[in-house]
Amino acid sequence: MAIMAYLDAGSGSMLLAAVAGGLAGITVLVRLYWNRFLGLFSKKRREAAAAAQAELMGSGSNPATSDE
Amino acid sequence: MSPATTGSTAPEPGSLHDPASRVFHRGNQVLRGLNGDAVGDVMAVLDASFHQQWVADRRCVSSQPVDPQSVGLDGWDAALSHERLGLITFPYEWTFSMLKDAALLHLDLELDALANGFTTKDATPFNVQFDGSQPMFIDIGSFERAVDGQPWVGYGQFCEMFLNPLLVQAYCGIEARHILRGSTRGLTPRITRKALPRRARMRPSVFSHVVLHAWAQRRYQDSDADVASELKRAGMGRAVVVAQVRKLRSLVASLDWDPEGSTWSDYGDRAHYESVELELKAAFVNRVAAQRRRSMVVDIGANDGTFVEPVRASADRVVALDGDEVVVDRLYRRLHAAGDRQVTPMCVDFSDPSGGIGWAGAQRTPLFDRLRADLVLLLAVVHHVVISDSVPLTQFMQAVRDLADEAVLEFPLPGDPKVERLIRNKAGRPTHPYNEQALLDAAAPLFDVVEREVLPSGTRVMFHFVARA
Repeated sequence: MAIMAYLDAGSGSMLLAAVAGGLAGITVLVRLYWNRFLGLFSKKRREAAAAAQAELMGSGSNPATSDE
Repeated sequence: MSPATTGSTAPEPGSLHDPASRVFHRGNQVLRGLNGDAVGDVMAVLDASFHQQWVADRRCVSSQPVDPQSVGLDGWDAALSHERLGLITFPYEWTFSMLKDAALLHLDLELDALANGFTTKDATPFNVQFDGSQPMFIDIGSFERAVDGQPWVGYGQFCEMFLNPLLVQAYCGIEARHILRGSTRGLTPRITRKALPRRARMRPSVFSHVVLHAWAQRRYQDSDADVASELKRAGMGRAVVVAQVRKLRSLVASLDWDPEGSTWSDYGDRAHYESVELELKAAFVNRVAAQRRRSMVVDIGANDGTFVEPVRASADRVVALDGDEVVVDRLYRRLHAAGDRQVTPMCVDFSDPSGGIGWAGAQRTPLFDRLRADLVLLLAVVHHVVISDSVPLTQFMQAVRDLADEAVLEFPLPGDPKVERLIRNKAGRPTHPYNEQALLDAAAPLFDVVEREVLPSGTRVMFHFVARA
């Protein structure tokens, strides 16, 4: 995104670039959702596991949930 | 950075959103201040062969770099001087075909820009003006270098300002100009989805640009997902954006508006006029038009443009204004196909002209702040305004004076069949006085009557008014 962009492109509208972009766009979309799927295991799941472990161990601070 | 302006350099009220590029007026000059990244991007576009071709084809206004300080744009990193167009119109004063042609122009430009490593950072009809009946791109500040992996930022705005209003007019018969006059943001995919009939929503392209678009906007409304980065990681490339714009273009090109007969669409045959009456009326207009060359002539109630022809030979520019979109659209298509760059049709109701809208109610200025004429034609208009729309003759004549220094006015007298019909609709009595003496009394403080001629019917009088010194 350009630093001085003044127009809010909108996440939903951006996603449509892929939907409306033919076969190449659909491939991008599939990859985007695949990356998100993998992300479940590589990040969120790890964070969730860390949070569960911290709770079990009675630790008061947990970096994975510190922004909530 | 807050750019200072000095002397008589004044910011254009319609150009306030983009901090990197802003339009100013200085006398007759149209200027643009550029800052930061925009300087390199816009200067690169100026040198790009695709842009030079667009300027040569008169599809984009020309621009010349100037020293910012020499034009009162101190504080700006760079400045441009733009070609000035004789008339500024807004999309809510256009017809369906004008908005459609402006949309196609914007998409064609985006495709050419993408092919040359550039893109437009917005996509609004306010980036387009009409030179006569030909659309031209005016906002060179919209260009920036395309970044690989970045979707077209202007896509959402294109849908809301061009595509959705066109779809609603094509499929539902609701005029886009009413929507665009109501909101400078246009029409959201969500509302468009609700308005469109099923047969429209089931078209694959409409399903994608409207139905899925509405779903995606709702889905990501409060999401923290960084879709731009995710798309880039997933291999979003220029080819995807080009495919998206191409598909959008074929959808827009396929849209048509097929209205049922309108009030005035058959007026062109003028069956109620005796041919000698019409000839004398045309001769009166010709006589006044031929007296001297004028820079701007406005024909109010122009209908099919019959009286545009006699005046165009002695005018630099002509505006053909009428409130009936069917006839104005037909006139535009005829002029556009002929390559006209002198006559601009506008769809405006003289009794309800566009006012100021957008930020502070002043971002888009009122029509009659933009339009000044040397001569205005008001042929068989006054009875509609005074009788049907209940506007007093004094206020009608003041509006005429505010618009022009000279007027040719056809006054249908009480007793004329058209006047009688309008009076019948008002329970047999006009709201305000309507007769020749009332007209002359209303005109007297403002205009001198230079010529008066009663047409053979005896129920219509032609006047040539010239503003009092």
